[in-house]
Amino acid sequence: MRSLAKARRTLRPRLALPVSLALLAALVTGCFGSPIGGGGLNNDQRFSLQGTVVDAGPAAAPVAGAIVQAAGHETETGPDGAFSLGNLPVQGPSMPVTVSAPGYETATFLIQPVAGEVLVLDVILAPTGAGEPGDGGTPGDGGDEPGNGGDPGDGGSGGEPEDPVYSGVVEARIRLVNASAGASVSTASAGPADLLTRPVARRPQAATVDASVPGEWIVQLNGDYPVQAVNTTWAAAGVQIVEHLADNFYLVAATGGASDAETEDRLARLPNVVSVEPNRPVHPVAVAYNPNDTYFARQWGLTMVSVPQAWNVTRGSRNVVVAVLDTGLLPNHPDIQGISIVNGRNFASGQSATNYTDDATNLSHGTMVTGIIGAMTNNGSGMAGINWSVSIMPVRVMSSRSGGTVAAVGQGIRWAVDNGAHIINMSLAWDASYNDTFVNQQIEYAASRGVVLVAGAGNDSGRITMPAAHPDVIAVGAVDRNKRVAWYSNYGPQLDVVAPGGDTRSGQAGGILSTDIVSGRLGYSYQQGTSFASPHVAGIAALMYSAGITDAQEIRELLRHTAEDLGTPGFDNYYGYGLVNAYAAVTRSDPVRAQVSVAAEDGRVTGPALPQRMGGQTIARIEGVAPGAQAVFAWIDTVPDGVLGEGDFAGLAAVNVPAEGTVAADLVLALWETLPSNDRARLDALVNR
Amino acid sequence: MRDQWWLALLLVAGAVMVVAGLGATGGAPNAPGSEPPDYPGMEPSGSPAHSQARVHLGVAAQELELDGRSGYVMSLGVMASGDDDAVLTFRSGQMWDFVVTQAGREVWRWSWGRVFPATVTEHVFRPGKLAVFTATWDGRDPTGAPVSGAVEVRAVLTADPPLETDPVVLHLP
Repeated sequence: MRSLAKARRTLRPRLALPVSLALLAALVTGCFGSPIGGGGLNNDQRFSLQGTVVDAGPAAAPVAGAIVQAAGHETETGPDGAFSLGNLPVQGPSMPVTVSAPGYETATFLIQPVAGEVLVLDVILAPTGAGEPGDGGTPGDGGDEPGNGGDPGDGGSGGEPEDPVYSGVVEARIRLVNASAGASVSTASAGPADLLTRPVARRPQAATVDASVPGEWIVQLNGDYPVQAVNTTWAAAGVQIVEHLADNFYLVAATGGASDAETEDRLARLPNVVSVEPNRPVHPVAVAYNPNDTYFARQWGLTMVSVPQAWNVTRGSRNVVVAVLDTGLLPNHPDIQGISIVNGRNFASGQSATNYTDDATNLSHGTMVTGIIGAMTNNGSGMAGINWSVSIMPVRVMSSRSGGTVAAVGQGIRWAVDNGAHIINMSLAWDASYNDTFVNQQIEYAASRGVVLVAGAGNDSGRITMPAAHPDVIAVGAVDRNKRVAWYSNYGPQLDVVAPGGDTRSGQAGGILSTDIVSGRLGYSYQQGTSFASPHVAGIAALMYSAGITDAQEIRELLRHTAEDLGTPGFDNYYGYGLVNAYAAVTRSDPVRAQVSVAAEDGRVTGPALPQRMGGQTIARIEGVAPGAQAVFAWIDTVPDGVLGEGDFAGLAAVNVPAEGTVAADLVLALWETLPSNDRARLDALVNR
Repeated sequence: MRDQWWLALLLVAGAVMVVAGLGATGGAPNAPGSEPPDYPGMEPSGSPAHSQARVHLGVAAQELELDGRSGYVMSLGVMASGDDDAVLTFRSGQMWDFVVTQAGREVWRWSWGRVFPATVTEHVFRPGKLAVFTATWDGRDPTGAPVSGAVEVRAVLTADPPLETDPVVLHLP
């Protein structure tokens, strides 16, 4: 009966709705959350825990005197089994809670706290030794033995109904897919207001309308300026900066009596103004955010790896520095000239040490790579960068005309690390048989300093080239727009992930679009190669950094384990761990966080179980499952509110559970918004009941 | 007949390269003779359509001395062999290579220790237009030891698949 007792130790966390709505109301009225770049959890934030502890018996008798421990605090349940713990620090996306009482098995489980919220728990404790042979203690536990073939509810020996014990096991492989894999992805045209917040806790009915806040605009300037100086300049225009939001974004309010339309028009004409958008209430969901760049629709790679969804969590930060070790760049390109460029350097031949300008007149490789990572975005023209705001450190280690040297790459890595780079992108290659101690040492130096190194795997349809082959470097292969490994992409055991690299053999649109120079004219082109897969990953790593995920090893692990598994299940040499998933990565939606359960047709649920990593796969094992047709389901509380809904990953699959033995299931978790409506309804009933 | 005139051109190109700077370890390629299409405005452009690749290759190598330093200049010439453009695919920013062997053993390779952008590109070679790629070698092996005696020089157009020339022989002192 021990398994029965565990199966019945259920946890039903739910949000205290009034508190949730109060928080939402505060946000709607313009009380912004943490600024961009501070997207990580704030240790100063607090939450509360309350609920009841009851006995697992049919009467669900309150357990008085139970000790509830969380975040280093503890309390004791009263005569009615109720407890309350207030002012608890949020210590991470999930935290353990332990409940113990004399005569009961100690229960330890994980909760997902949300700052400012009250989490309500009902904890059911199983008596110690309940059902153990010979204990004879707990009333009513002398029921069916495991596997005796009785149908649920077919009665036992009379008296109180007994819960039967089953021996079926479901072993579910949990994997994520990108948003583009679903039936549809809803879109929204929210303004930059939600750039400044994490997705907020919400229930499905709590969605807000997309109305503007009267008399307020989010204005992007072409640089950081002192607020007072700008307000002095703008005094006659009837507007003033209310708040410097982040980077070069400002909250501006009308001070005159002009209409909003007139004021907005006036704002747009002011010097140094790059963009003007009405301030809007926070959108509480993780829908796709599509910028207004002309060529965004042609950037299939961004949609494929869920970048528009990630933009609802973070759009980058100028405080994150990405070094682009490449051919230099063309700083006058109209989609590049407005971005932050820091500490550029040249280590290639033919130019001075400070001249990092690309010498290309056709195909500026470094400019293309830079555009993918951080071209000017939502500026009404050109392309979108993965980061709307980021600092690029151009480190020129190659000439567009004759390549570069391994030594220059080593010098470039050293320069980048010593001058503040957080991430280094290397869309370049040399033969892995060329073993250079100097460059290896610089790679290891960078890794020891916590710098994220990313490189293209090479285009030889063969073994992975250097520097991607180095164990401290994230090796990135390429896929085409159909998520097939690109015809040229190198493969091998060093491969970490794949990303869009394109295939132009059947048309240019199959390539990766980015900023370029064509026949001496600044413009855009489509290209193919792992050169362009690598900056997709470096760009996503920069988004992760801006969302508060700053540990290089964690970034690499999250990129791997949140990836959409393609090819052979688990790791394989052609896709590595799979196709990167920007939204899952920036939200730390590692499938090991999934809560996995099995539901029978009568509504009985077994679980949840937490998956474990087994090799390159994530496996959950649910034991004690009744035989017959059941549904295995799982979800990740990505938007950490204890409720399954928008912004969360979820999925379900049918399984036929044997009376004895194990059945395997492949459980694909997709973004809630992309799930078929009938799956959503079923999952909502199972999880949010 | 055709080989003769463009081999002569290669030697001229090599001489020009050496005058430009003996210290260089590799030379800039001449434009492959193609005029990229005129793209209107800022519209994205891309690689031209595929066609069957047919090109002539030739290699030339000669010793030259400048300011008391001796070296060997190598030139690879490429031209479409038929009446149509030849479009070749390259798997990286590297388009050419030179390999020096002695008694079957490789003693120098231009690309050794060099780095190239990991981009797949296509280049157009046109009939009647010669593209020349050059490099200079200081006559030493990777350890810095001078090489003496007869060596064979091959040029490689590192297209997909790579195309290699027949060797030419140099006699080093």
